[in-house]
Amino acid sequence: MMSEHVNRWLEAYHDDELSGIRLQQVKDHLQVCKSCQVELGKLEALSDLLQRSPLPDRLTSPELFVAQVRLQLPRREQTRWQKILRVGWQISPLGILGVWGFIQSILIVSMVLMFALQLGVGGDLISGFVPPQSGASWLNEMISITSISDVSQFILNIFDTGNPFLWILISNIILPIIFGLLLCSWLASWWTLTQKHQSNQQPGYIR
Amino acid sequence: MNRLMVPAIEAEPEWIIEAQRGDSSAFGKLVLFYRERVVNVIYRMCGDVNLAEDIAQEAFIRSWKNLDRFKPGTSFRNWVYRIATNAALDTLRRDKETVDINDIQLVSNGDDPEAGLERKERMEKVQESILDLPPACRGVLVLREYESLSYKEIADTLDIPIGTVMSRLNYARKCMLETLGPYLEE
Repeated sequence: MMSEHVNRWLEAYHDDELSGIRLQQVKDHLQVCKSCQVELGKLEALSDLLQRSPLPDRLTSPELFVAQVRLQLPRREQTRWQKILRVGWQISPLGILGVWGFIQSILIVSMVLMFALQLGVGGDLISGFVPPQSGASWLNEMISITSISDVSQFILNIFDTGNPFLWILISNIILPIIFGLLLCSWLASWWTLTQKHQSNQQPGYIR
Repeated sequence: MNRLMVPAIEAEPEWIIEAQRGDSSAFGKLVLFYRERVVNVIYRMCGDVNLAEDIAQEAFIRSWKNLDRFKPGTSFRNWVYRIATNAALDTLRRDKETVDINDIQLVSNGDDPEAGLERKERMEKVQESILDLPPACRGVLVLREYESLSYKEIADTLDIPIGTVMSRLNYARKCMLETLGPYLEE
């Protein structure tokens, strides 16, 4: 019974799985027990014998093995969200340009209508579309129909000053900068992904 | 050495992420890194090097298909070993031991013919004794003796309790000591 108990811990001792008190107990026991020393010696000899049997040298070359595996790999199915995200990311530059173009066209149309009103051109026809107030207030009214938040209302109040210089600043400088930054961000992410993909083509350093 | 190349062990997490996104070239690097170890484990379990390579390829393909189930931060090595040992066990159950001891080809290191013959006989006996073990015990012994996995790692890899690892290892070693006793003294 006692030696069976010791033999069990002997294997764990041989495999470096013991620690603390148990480890010390086995060490102390091995110092005085010849039969356990012999048993431990057998375990070590067995491990040594097993390690001396190498792999046959008939293995397929590593590159050929990898090529064979890659040929058999099925296409990984993307989840629906992954597909949506991937398509969304690919068309986002078009979206950015589209939004910018839409805002620019609204600004251009509104400026044209403002000038037309000021010049008295169009008369009743234009006034049917634009209330007889300051230039951007019709835009304010249209959007207010959709019950926008206070923050958006605050932003629109800035537009509602009727200051042409402010309009020029916003439409010709600030907005292009914002959309330009968005496009540059997309280009940077595209370039980073391309560089990553190219670096993946290079073999890694392997021991 | 190219400064742009990083040691494979450091690049492994990045390869795994790229492979999970569907990048087969990144997965190819993982295959290259683990090929020899996986083939070694399977070869020890089935005894046929050609069969071991076929099973190893099958194991890597299975791991590709199930990459979504791999949790980043856990050991990819142990995860691949689990798939490989399961693939080996499946084949062994299906084919009921296909090894031909005569096919075991050993490496020659230039020893004289007589010593080489003794060594060959010893190695054949070692492989034969491993193959005589029940498949479940074989897997535990191979992972411990050839891949130096800890008991906990073996338990995680094979999805068995640590106590089962210890008992199977104990049984395997007892059987092998009985069979290989004379060869231990050489």
